[in-house]
Amino acid sequence: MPLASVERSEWDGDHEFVIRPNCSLSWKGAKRYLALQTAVVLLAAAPMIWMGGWPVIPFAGAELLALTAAFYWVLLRAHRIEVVTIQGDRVWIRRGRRGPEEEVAYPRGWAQVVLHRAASGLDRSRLFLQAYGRPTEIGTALTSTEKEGFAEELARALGRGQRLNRTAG
Amino acid sequence: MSEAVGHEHHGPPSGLLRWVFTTNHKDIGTLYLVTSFLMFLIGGVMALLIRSELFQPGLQLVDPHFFNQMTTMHGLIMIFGAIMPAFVGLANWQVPLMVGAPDMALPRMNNLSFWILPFAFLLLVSTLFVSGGAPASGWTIYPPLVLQTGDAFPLLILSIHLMGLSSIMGAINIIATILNLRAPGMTLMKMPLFVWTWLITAFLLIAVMPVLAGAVTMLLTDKFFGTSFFNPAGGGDPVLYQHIFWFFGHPEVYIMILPAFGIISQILPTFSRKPLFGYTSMVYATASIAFLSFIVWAHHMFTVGMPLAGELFFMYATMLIAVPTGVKVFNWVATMWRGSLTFETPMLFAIAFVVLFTIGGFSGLMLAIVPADFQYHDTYFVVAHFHYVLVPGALFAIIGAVYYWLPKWTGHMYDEKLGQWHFWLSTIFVNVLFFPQHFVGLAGMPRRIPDYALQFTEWNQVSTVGAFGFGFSQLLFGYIVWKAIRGGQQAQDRVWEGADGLEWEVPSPAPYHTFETAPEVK
Repeated sequence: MPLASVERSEWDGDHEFVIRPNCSLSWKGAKRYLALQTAVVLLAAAPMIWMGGWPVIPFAGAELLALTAAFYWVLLRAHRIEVVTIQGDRVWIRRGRRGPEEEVAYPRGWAQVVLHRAASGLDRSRLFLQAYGRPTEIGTALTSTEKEGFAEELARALGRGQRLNRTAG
Repeated sequence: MSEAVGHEHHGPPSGLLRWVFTTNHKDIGTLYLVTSFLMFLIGGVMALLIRSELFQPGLQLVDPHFFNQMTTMHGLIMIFGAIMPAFVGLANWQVPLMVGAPDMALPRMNNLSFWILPFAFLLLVSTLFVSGGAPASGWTIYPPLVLQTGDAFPLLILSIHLMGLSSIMGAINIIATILNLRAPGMTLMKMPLFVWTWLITAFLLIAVMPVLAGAVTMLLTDKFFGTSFFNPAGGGDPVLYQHIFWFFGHPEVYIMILPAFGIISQILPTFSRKPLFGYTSMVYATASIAFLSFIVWAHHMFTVGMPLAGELFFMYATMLIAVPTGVKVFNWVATMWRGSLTFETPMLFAIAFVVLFTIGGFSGLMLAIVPADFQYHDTYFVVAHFHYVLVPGALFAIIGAVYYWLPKWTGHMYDEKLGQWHFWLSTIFVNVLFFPQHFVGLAGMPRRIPDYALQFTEWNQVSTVGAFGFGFSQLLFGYIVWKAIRGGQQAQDRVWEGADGLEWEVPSPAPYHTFETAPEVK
């Protein structure tokens, strides 16, 4: 689970929280690394074909596919931004990489912040925004400590006497 | 509503299942290290059997075929079962802590890459109990000899594939973690040397593992599917296997030593109370060694009958490796120079590494010289050389790393007095064990034989005494680690006065989940 940063903005009683997972590698950097690794793997495998050891090639190909898939998955997760917007009487949770790919809305008056604390030191806390018994997990990129702070902030931002509900694992 | 949410949420399993399903890098690191120690003991027992048989000329304890099985299995187990998993275990524990990441980038894959290993090792060790016995062709599994293996052959190939798969997944995870999950502010050139050396090692692993997989698959198809990759009767060439194997095998040697360089580069500055001398040159030297490792493979096979130009190329390329390695040794010595040195157990192992690994490096230089190699090839001199690189080299670095980071892992200081005993016993006996092998090798004693000519007796006896002394000293190591896990003096967060790095910013023992808030990188 990556560390994340929470950017906050507030205007006329409305709030927006943008959660960005920490990622030290850009897509461009990943492409550069994958190109270098692919070149080296293929340079290592190419003489094998010349010498008659072609069975090296399928293994090299499978490995490069696995490497690319792993990096794609990690980067996809690390570049997925989560935006919680509290505007007027609505609360929106939007997630996506380049734009909102997933959107959930709750009425502000009914929305509750629920922090489910870790059952033991081995586990992690989970944070939910819910209304009408429909919970949506938020801040999955945050660590347990970050979730504590963010949950309180979110409850305060919802306003109207909202309290943060904490449940034990 | 809160309760409904609570019902959906299950904590992680406890007890034994915690270890089966864990995705936590610290748990998985511990699993790797424990497995590695167990395999080290199994491989060590095999080594003691080999040395017992060689205590005197003639056949005493085992028949020659079983002796060959022991040399083969000892090599495979120590390389794939002890040294490599130990480094991966250290990487699992330390890389996230050192780069400021809360865990590895792909935690589930991390779990899988560990749990493949016990099955691979089980398959490998089970070959001892099948018809025809374990493989007896040496760890390099050269054809046509290896094709004479009995029922163990497919088990051997499958276990190598599984070990390779595990290594590849581990390498992908380490690279993904280092590149993606560094804490804000930790640029590549601010990374600790251990992280750098592992990044380059993982790069090498990904580059060469398909070559090993291809090589052993060709052996399999030659044996069972009628192909002739290595069979001259069908138009194949057994020397092709040697080229392919060593194209994997030589980078593999560096895979086993580069993380050791990283460990030594962490320990020496701590106990010298000085920053590492020449950090940038250390990074470039590591990268240079990695590059050169791809173009020197044929120095393992000078005697197969290569063109003179080829022999000269591989000789000079091999000798070139002494340059970046020399840079490293110089930097380590310069780090200690005028430092405020103290000699705790990790420092002792690190200093012994610098001295004894250099001996292994020098004998490697001797072997790089083609006309000399024609004399030394397949003698005990080669055995002495690579054991100096791997035992007081890689293994001492691993032991030093365990002493160095153990207080951070357990929250307890190890018993320093016992640690010093362990160091002196190990260092004395490792030299008693391996140094005489230079003499018998130079005098012409071939490797991989259960019997030998009378004139080699005395040095073989000395070597066997050293083997038992070294082997039993490692039981003391197991006890020291066990004792520290059970209790002892409480370790501080910054365990060592001169220690520097993010791992020393977290409490001791390191909490199950570390870096709950982003660490500050200086």
